Amino acid sequence: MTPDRWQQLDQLFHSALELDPEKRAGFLLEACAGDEALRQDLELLISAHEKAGSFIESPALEVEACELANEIASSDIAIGKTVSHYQVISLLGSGGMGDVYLAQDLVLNRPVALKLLPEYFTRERDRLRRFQQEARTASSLNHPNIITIYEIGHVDDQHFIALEFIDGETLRQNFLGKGRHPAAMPLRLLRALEIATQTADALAAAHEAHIIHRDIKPENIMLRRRDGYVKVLDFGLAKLTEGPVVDIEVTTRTLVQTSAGMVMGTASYMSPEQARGAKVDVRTDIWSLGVVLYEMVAGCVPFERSTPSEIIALILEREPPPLARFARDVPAELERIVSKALTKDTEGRYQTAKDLLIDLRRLRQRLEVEAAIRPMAEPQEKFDEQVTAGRQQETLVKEKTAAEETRDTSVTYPSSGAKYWLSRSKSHKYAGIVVGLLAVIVIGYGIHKLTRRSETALSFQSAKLTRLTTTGKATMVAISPDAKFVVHVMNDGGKRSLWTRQVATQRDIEIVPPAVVTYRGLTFSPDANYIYYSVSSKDAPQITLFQVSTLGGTPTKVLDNLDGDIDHVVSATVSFSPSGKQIAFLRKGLSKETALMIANTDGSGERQVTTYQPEDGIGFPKWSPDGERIAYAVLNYPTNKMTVAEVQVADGSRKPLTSQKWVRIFGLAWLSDGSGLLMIAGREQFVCQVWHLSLPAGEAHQLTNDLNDYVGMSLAPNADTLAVIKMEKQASIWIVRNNDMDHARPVTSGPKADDQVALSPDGNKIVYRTNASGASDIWIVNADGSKPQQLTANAGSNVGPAVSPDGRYILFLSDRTGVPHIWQMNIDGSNQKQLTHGNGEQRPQFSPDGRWVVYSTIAESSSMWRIPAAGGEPVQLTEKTAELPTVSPDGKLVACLYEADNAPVRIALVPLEGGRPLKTLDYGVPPAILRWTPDGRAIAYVDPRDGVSNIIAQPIDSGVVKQLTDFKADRIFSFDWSRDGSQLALSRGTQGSDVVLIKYIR
Amino acid sequence: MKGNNDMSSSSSSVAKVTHLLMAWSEGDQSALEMLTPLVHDELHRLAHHYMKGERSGHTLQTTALVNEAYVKLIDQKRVKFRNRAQFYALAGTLMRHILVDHARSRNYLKRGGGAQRLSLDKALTVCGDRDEGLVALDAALNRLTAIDARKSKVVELRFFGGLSVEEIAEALDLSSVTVMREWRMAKAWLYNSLNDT
Repeated sequence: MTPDRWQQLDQLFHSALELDPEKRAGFLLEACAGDEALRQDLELLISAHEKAGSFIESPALEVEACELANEIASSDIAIGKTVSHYQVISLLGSGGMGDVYLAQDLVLNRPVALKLLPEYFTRERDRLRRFQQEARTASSLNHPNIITIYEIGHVDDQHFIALEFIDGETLRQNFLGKGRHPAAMPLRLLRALEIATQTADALAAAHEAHIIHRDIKPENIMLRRRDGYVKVLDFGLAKLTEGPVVDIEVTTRTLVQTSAGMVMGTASYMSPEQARGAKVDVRTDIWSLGVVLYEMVAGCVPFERSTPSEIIALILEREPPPLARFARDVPAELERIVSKALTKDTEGRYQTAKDLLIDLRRLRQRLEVEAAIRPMAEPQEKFDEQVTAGRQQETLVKEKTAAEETRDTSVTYPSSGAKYWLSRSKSHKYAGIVVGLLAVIVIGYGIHKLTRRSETALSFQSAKLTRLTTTGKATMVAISPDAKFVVHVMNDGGKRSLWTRQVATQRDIEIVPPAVVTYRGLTFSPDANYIYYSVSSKDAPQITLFQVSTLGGTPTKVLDNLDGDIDHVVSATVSFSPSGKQIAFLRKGLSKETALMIANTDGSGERQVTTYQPEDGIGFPKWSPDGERIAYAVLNYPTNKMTVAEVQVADGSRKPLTSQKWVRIFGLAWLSDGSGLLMIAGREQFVCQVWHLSLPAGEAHQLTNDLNDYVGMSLAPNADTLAVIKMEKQASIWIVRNNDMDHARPVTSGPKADDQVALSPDGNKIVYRTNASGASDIWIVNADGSKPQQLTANAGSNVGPAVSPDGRYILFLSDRTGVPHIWQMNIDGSNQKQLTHGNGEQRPQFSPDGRWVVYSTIAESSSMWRIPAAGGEPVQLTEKTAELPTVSPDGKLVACLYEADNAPVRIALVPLEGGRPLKTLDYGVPPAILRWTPDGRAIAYVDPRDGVSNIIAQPIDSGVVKQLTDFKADRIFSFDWSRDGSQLALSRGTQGSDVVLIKYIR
Repeated sequence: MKGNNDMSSSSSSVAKVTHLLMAWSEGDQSALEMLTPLVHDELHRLAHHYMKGERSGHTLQTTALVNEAYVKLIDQKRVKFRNRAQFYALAGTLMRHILVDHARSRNYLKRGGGAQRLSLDKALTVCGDRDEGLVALDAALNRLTAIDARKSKVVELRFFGGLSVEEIAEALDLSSVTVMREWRMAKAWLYNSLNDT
């Protein structure tokens, strides 16, 4: 058909359709003017138009889904039928080998699993014969760990296999979770060995009969519900699905064409010889079992990629990462066994399943004996704590530079994984405590974070806030159970004193005078008559627990030698049993393990409830209202994550209370009815806030969502009153031109925190984060302070801005989707787009050519990545822990905080392409922000010495550290240069902490 | 067989789809290998829904489910493509590719296996009107492309890509009226073509 004619057809078709149907025939006759073929075509089209009805009006997805439904329905028709003497009852599952049904053997009157082979598998007589032969051989296997084949037969063209029916689940379902992301299921090491041993036993028996399984994977290992007994499925069946394929491409494609979920799994368990398409022998099963064992221990398969071809490439070329990377306390012997099973060369592998079986059995027996000898630290307990997601993250910065006294009551805390010191604010000149309820605020309090809250969850929606102190120097707080008294620690220049406030009368009493000591914990006795506090000092580093009357007097020593310092977070509070007769507290053991103890209130009758090994720190023990349990925070040092667990007082058995993790927990308290805990906790780079952990669900919800840090709390549960230590920040943006410190001036002002700053490359625009609107948002202002404008609004917390080299785009971090991701917008705030989609990212920075965005991740371990600024796949730059990336002006290097295995954290220079650091530098104080100096010759960061911050530059080659600014007061929270270095923007201000009471309504 | 996915995994799968689509558009065939199972999952989810008793066919709920599936697979709001039009076009082509492939392999198995054939009644009661096979439609659409590529594209976007008329108008830089005109003619032509042969 010519284009002209087609166009004619098109036009006339529509013209005709516009007419009433009865007028169309006449119109066509006239319009076609004797072109009979055209008229007929049009008649056909119009008639088709009228008949077509719903044709292609439903989306293809729906059409295809319907077809599929029909097909599934067709397979259902087997149900109720009788095949031979088996009556089909229900579908158990489907696989490459056809559907498996639960059926009743009408002769022997027992349940069987009936596998109906699809005809297209069996129509190749040759393959069918081979299969039958093999299945018959397999049916001769009589082994407790191999599923029994009762019968192989056919009725007409319907081939079937009747198998022993196992009431249970596959290893995938039972242990490893579903899909390719094994759930964080605790898998006990002994159980994993047990399963592997029984599987090896089955393989040994089969191999002896010259039967190769060929497809050992978690889906083919059943665990019987009744006793957990292993039953290996599908012996000899895999061969039927095996075509005469040899090259990888074809293998891959064939795999992809079957159900995709299975394919991924299958490729992961392939031996190298299978992957190559080479001839396989019994040693292929040994490899696959090695993969299964690896997965049970590590929580992931050893060769993991997103596509089968990539997986196969790994199988052929790479050594698997050691198990120790994924799980702690992996016995060296287990590493050896797995590594031997996963040897690529078949000659280097275990030669027989029997050899593997012997090694597995021996290891299991040894571990069982060890577990029996060390009941308090049995290996499976440690396995319960394992973090599945891989790389270990060492505590990023473990600086010991600060004097003991700076490791103060909660004023050391981490930010974005790196810890930095919050200096004591000098801007607050108040000598004492201002008496009076200065601020009584009733506000909608952090409601926008509560979208996924369950109905029973607690809300601070109409909470009443009362500020109790205004010194900015409160560092620790406790409230009496009746909420009548509040006691707090005041830190004035390193001298700390204890003050009681009688809330009703607003009277303050100094009950322990100022001294150079560190308070480690603070608790009221249940009757509110006494305060129990623990202290240590440089001269007496042991933590001692004292009791003092609530209204002052001489303190009495109760206990010596307490513990309570999880990674600089002070947590040596004691907790009273509901009866008030006992206290729970922590002690450090001889080999650095932490023991949770209970004793009578006078210190007598001490007893250990549970202990944690040195790699876990525990803190904030809190006795439950029913008196049966003690909840506490656990910090796992290797992963640097904290969570909440509990222990039964009676038998010391413990369990996690939630699967959620935080980077910091600053306090815990039970609600009066035991329905949950309140806690101060912080996730990643966002500040610590008040959370509600509801039990037994273990769901955590953030109750406050403001811009301040909460660093301590105490609950009067029956009075629905929470006392917190709230840190508040005031900061404004300053500009320094041409290094002229004398004319440094503020660009923004007001009682708010403009605490993160980025400068456009030409220095004309300042982009900053502020809480001016009540939420954390990105704003922009001209460098002369004119035209401040809000760029983000009503979309979660938005922080960490960076401006593109062409000045047209802004990168920022937003948690509006629930997870902190990097977003990009135009410089005017339009076109906000999500750039990263991982498990949480932070600290985005452009490369100078604007093509890349470099950032670090915050999930599980911080590593450094880059992603095309136009969007695309992220590329990992470092394997080790790396944070605070900043790209050099020449675009070649990324400076970051870097932690190699067991080496101290240093500033590292990593190529933008990724890889190992080319150079590392020491630093004086742990930086919270890194920037290249505009000349590209030094790394600049903030030196917060003595509470006054200045910027210092550390040359990347030889040279001395240089101080770049000369401020005499206040702190610097963030800074950035224009490209030519002529302008320096800084966020400067103060930070103080005060006691705030939150009276909430339940 | 998949378990019940929680919220978070479904949102991350959307992100994944977007990434994969982009990779595919850049010629990465392995992205297709990854996308296909996601579409298959949705197909199975819908199929099971039909089987669970939505016997009357096109109920509101069913429509919502299909829409939800499309959104999950090709939610343009999350796309970082410079222009959405490009993405729309891509999504339509991709869905066509995967769905036709799925239909083709299903038909193949059916033909080859001669598995118990389903009675026509059953098909009708489960799904209402029975449309022509996707494979035949795909072939007809190829023929239409040779004559009038734009009409063929409109069908691809609407029928396979699940796009609205307005979205197609945006993708092809046409008015909605023109899109509807193209659709009407293409539909008639395809119907004729499929019932002819």
